[in-house]
Amino acid sequence: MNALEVRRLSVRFPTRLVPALKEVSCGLERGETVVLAGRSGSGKSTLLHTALGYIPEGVPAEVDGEILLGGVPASPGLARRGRRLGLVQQDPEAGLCTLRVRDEVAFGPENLGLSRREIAARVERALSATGLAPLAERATWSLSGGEKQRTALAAALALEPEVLLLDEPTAHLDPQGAQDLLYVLSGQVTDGRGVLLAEHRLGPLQSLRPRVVRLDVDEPIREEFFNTCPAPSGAAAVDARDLRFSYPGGNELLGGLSFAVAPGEVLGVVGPNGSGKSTLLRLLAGLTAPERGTVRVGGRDPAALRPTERRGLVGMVTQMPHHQLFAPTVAQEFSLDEVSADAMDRWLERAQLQALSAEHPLRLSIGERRRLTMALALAGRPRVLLLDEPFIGQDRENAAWVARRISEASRMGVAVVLVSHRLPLLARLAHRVLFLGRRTHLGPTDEVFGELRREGQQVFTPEFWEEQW
Amino acid sequence: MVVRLRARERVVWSVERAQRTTFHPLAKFALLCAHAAAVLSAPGLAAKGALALIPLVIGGKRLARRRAFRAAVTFGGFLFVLQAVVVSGSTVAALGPLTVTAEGLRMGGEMALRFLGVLGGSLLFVATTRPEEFASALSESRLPYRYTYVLVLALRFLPLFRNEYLRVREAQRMRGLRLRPWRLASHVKWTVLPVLASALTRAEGVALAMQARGFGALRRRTTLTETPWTLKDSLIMGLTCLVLALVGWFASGGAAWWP
Repeated sequence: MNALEVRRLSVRFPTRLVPALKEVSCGLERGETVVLAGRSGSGKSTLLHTALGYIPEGVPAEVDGEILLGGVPASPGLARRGRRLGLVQQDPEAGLCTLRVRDEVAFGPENLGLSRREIAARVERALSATGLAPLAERATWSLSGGEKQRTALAAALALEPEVLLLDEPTAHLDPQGAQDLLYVLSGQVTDGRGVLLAEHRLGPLQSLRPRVVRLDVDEPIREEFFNTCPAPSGAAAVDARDLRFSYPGGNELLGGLSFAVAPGEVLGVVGPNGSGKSTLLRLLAGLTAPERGTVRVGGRDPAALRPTERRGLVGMVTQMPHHQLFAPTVAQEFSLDEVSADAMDRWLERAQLQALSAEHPLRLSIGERRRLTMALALAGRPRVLLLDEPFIGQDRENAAWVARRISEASRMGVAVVLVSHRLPLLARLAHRVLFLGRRTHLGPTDEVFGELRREGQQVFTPEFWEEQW
Repeated sequence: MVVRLRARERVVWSVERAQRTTFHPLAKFALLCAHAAAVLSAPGLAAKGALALIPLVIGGKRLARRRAFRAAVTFGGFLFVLQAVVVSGSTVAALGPLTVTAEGLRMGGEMALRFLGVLGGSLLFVATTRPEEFASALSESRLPYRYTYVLVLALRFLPLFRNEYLRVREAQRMRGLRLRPWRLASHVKWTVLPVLASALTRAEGVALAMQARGFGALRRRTTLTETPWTLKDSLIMGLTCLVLALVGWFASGGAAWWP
């Protein structure tokens, strides 16, 4: 008997013409892992949220079809279903409701009105299962991304659900954090819990031996898209020397790092969360001044550039596209950057956003927003492009689009610094790799990954995460 | 395995009990309110000074080391200096074009002590009370937990909003957007709306996480942390009543406040 089953499930949102899900049927047994695969907008999250009851209870929609839990129709109500289906969301921040790890894990059982002794027992079991017992008294805001996601998982486990629903749980995690989460999940599967995941990438999930349910057909990425220019040389577009930085009360980052990036070169930056990758990009952009050391971009100190000068020299794409979008329409985003009408039309066409030029940028899908921020960064014709996790939350099609723009920029002589946890993609694009960890490595891509392999840090090598479709 | 788990549970219980603060959060809150009323209504510098010192004496280094307390002392000093040179009256000293008056010194001193007394008490309360503990105590006192939990959520979102704000400002700098501090409409358009949009997305995620874990489904919820009312708390409430009665009596002209 299936622990969770959906039969001929259709979901239509009032604001959309096309149904988000159309007569989808799938089931999941206890001790089984099922992955919902498909491109952005194919309905993966919609299916999870509908199974949980959040749609239509929290988000109005027309829902047809049946949802069965343990072979019987699921009773309506998000709270009732939440006892049997534990949810872990994509954004590690979104799953946390309290200020301390132990309180977070206790939150669900407290809402169920359980006895204090039962709550304590469940909290203890969930903390042990996720390896979080040593962090039980830590403030939730002080946790790393991986720790936050494990806390969200522990909070779901404390409800002792029959099935775990996970919406791209590794999207924001570094390779080690993702690996730790998957290890915990494999333990849950062994213990007989069903696991239903929405995920773009199947490669990292191979250890869970999942059954794949495709919600649409996704074309494989062709490697020729990623040909960058031959290993370039010449005067450095980016020159960083003896960089050191620390946040108040934090450890020193970067440890006297020195490197240069030539025009047309793609430098991949890899490392665990908190190793200073995003800080490095902020230093290169001139948004933060280093404690020690110097940064030169195009021969100039980026921190001393006037805003308009910086825009012409450095383009930056941040992790969350919505942080970079300010104007009331897509077209006005280009006007804001003083991009000519011709150039705007060209970029809108390339980003497949022509039909959406009058839309509010925050109404776009996450893939469309990413294409827009990439287009805005490149339309300014920068000499240096700084990219902070541009593939987060992107399906294969959008990830390929972003990768193509990076390779084009490289061929046009733009120096690119690319921070990404999507190691197979990064390995195909980068001429050299900078690994920020306990030991720093800098060198040609193959050599750095070879060194990490020899050090036993396979989790930071592309083979470990190679996407197998 | 069962025996080991039970042993662990006992450890958890002892940890939870050890973490309980000395007094019930509601008793502390009542005393905080009474102290604030006394500080605000006490006439004269000496009375205000004595009352403002109480939180510092109780909190000691724990309070003095807090960045917020140091900021409060700085701001209190600023208020004192400002009043001393702005309020007109009999001149005590002249510093270039500025004159320090006796009335200014008295008013500045009173204002600074009022500020430090109320803020010091509040900071001591915050330093000794976990928000979840306070929210649980409010719920136990029959207030609907949906409302009392707002306090925890507010504190949960503060660092998040700050972070979102910083990211948006950085993105503005990268795109060459320069906002003049006095152009409020520009700030609303270019900063407040993006931060709000981002915050609403986050809030939606948190709301989903809370509902999916049964928040609001039952009329009453239980708590992991125990907050029992003890004799000490009754004594604190007695002290609170006494302070409030004295404040009321003196405020209605019962007697002079200070010898």
